[in-house]
Amino acid sequence: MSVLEISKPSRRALLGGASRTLSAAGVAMLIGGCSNAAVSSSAANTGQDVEILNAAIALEHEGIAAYQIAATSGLLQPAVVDIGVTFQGHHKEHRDALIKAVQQLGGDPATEKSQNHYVDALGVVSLKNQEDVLRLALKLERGAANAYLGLIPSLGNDYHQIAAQMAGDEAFHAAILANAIGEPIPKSALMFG
Amino acid sequence: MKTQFGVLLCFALGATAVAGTLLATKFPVSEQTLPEIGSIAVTQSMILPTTAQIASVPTSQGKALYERKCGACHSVDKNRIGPRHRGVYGRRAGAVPGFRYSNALKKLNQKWDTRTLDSWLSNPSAVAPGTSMGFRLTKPSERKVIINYLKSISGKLQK
Repeated sequence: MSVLEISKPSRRALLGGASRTLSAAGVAMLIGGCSNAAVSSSAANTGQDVEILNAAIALEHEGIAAYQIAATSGLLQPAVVDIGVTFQGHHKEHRDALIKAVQQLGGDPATEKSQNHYVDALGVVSLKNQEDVLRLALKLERGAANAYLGLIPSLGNDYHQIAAQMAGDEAFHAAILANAIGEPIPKSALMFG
Repeated sequence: MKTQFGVLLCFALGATAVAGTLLATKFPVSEQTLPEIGSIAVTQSMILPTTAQIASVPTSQGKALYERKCGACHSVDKNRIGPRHRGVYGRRAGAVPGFRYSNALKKLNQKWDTRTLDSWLSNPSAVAPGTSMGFRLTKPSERKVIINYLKSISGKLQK
């Protein structure tokens, strides 16, 4: 299974600027000059990205656990288990790409919690049949699509595309799950974000 | 004989019509068997409200918007990626027991009320730089609906 590639943060991103030209502080840094404000700003931006990306990793850990719990619940038809395992694989790719991004930024990636934590946090004991499981999965996937779209403005520019790509994957999952439950197609567009 | 046959024929036709009607009747969603994955069912039954309509909906219906926008990370009664939200309105920031907050939230010295929640949901990293919550709820009408819902689960909703 391939891992999504994320380009290393560009110097432009590390300097905290979105324009194509370097700021005066950026030039000073390049020629070995000292600019405390630029260094402080870039460090703060990097730190912010690490925190947000780690929250996304935590989201993916939960999603992976949710599909694992679902697959082994005994509540799903075999064909539905297969689809759930495929979706879980997508979330593992998301997780791995996000971990790589945090490590490239010099941060420590968020670790997964225990299975018991996820069982409790997701209210698994209340799930009685396949439809309950699918509705929970749909709620999580819809939420995840909205979450990734909603956090794009807070992330450094280098991570906008990967966040949008992940939102696309979650929206795809949500569409499949909604169809499986029999939800009608929404009449209005712009249904995520 | 012909009369008896006619009566039997009418009865059979009537029974068939009744049976056909019963088979064609739509069952409530909860009684339907799940369609095979890959089939598509399109109905007129559900039209998503516009943003303006959402702003005027009763607080109880804010739950649906809360789940769509906040549900990836938050629950009302369980700590997940974010802290649980029951009782959040009126509570100090960074104060839910058992949840591991970012340093930014631990240092944020404020209570959650309508004004602070509106600022927070609009741009969390502007309120608490370094927070792990990057999600921004950019529509004022949606922030209003969700803040009203958060009030309702905190016992703070004014009638």
